[in-house]
Amino acid sequence: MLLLAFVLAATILFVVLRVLGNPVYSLISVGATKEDIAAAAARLGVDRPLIVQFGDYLRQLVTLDLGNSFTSGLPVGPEIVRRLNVTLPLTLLSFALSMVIAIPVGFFAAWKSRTWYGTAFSAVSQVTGAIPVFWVGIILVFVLALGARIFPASGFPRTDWSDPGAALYALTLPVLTIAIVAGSELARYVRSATLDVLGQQYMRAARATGQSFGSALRRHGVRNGIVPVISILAIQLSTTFVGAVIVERVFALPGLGDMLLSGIVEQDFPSVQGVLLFSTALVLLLGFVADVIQRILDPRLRASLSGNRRVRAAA
Amino acid sequence: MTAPVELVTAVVARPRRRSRRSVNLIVGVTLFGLIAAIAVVSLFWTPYALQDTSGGRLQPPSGAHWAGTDKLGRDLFSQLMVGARLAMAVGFGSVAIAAVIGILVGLIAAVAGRWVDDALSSLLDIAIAFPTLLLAMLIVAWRGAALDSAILAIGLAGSAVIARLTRVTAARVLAMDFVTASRTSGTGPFRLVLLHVLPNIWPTLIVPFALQFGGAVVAEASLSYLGLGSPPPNASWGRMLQDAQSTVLVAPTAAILPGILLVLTIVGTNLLADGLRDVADPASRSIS
Repeated sequence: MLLLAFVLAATILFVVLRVLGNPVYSLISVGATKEDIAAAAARLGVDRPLIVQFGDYLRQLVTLDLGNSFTSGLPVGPEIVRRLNVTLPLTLLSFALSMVIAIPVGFFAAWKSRTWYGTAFSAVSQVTGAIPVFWVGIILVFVLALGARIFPASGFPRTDWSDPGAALYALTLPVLTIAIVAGSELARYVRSATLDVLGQQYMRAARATGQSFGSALRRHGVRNGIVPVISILAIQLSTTFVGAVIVERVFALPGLGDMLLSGIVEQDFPSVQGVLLFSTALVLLLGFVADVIQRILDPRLRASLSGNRRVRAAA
Repeated sequence: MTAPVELVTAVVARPRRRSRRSVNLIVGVTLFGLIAAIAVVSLFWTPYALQDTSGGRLQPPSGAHWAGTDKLGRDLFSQLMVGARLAMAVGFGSVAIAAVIGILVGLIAAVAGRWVDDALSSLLDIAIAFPTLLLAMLIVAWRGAALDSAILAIGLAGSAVIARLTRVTAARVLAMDFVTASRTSGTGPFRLVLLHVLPNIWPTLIVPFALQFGGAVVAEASLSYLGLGSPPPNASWGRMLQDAQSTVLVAPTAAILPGILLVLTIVGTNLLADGLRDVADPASRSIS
């Protein structure tokens, strides 16, 4: 199913980029003659029948050969791996930080929902959830980098990760930026999942058997509440990754997002295709993993391994 | 891959605030109305023409230029007003695309037989998992950076969610007794959908439409910020922020005002959605 989804997504990419778009235009300059265009087409292999091109494309995918960049001439695959040096730590650190913030905050907002804290949370999260991630970045740069001069405003050290301190220092503001936005969204989900659990009859029943609130929560609440949160977490990791694409621009970080953007602007079509394929595979894989984890955690979903749809229709 | 059912319900069943429903709706309508009013006024009047660079570069807010000027000397207040118009165009445009495609696909899946339904549902699951922004970038890579590329991309991305919700809701309506009664009295499938299904799924869909409106505005601002939105002289709040970023120390208002308007628009539509959910209650509550 995962493989099928990926092949489908790869096909859509092929159709959009090669059948609807024309990569030849990126190779020729203004005033090119018919011969120039034909030569460029031959060089790219786009003068062959579409079905042959498609077979070629699939073969490339299987061998993980993503072709060479038009602008630099370097192979796209290793370039993606190199860029991941920035994007992966950025994504994972932001994700971890957003969880550290969101889970306790969201939980207390539900637990104390009838107090001033719960009300304040609702109001604040309504606003923080609405702030575009790049604006958070701009404001943080303004206050903490240009104003207070605590952190660098942009860039990533040339030394890469050979100097971990400098690399982490450069990533602090970007990580904070993503974590604020992703965290406030996550906190809202955690809050609603907790509210849901706290109102359930089984919690009352557990308390009635003499368990303390904490024990009832651990033994019954968390197990039920965590299932929807897990699925949100996978989506969150995807959105964090996409957020990284934007935030890399704010802080001029040389990551995957930068590669994708310059690829689009310079019409470097193998780079665009490579990054999009990689991102698609990652997003689909995360969704799949979330599905599997949910089934492990919730036996009710396990019963219908192939029939998830029927469960949904009945839900 | 099958995205979990909680996705749909989570969107529909976010925390309810029954006691404050009127507040949500009133604040939401007010904020949204304010932005819409600015957009409408900008059609007839702006303090300066967008291309007018007579103001001097990077001026602070003053009587002549209420929000100051940008680094080319253009009036920022005029740009902010036009930005509201663009946000409205993007919001309504992409929601309209999402509605037409989403409802159509969802209805086909609900009415058609098993095979079509299965195939469409799997497709939708994949489409929903795909991030809006990546899809938008793909479409920009194909069509070039333009306003209609952005609207098309955002609308397409939103249509998958609408389609899935339509399918579930329509299937439920189709199973109801009054529909069966109508069917046995000889109503064809087309009339059935038109007369009974569409009017009954409408209340459920109105809330996601409101949410998608806000999402569309953010998505367009992000694209514009990245330089993939509508090219100048169209003033998008996202591109204004990008322009202002390099001069944030000299002219902080230019980097702050577009962001505030963005936040107001999105908070407005979110509150509107919350308020509508409480008002259009019975149908949406049964989904969750």
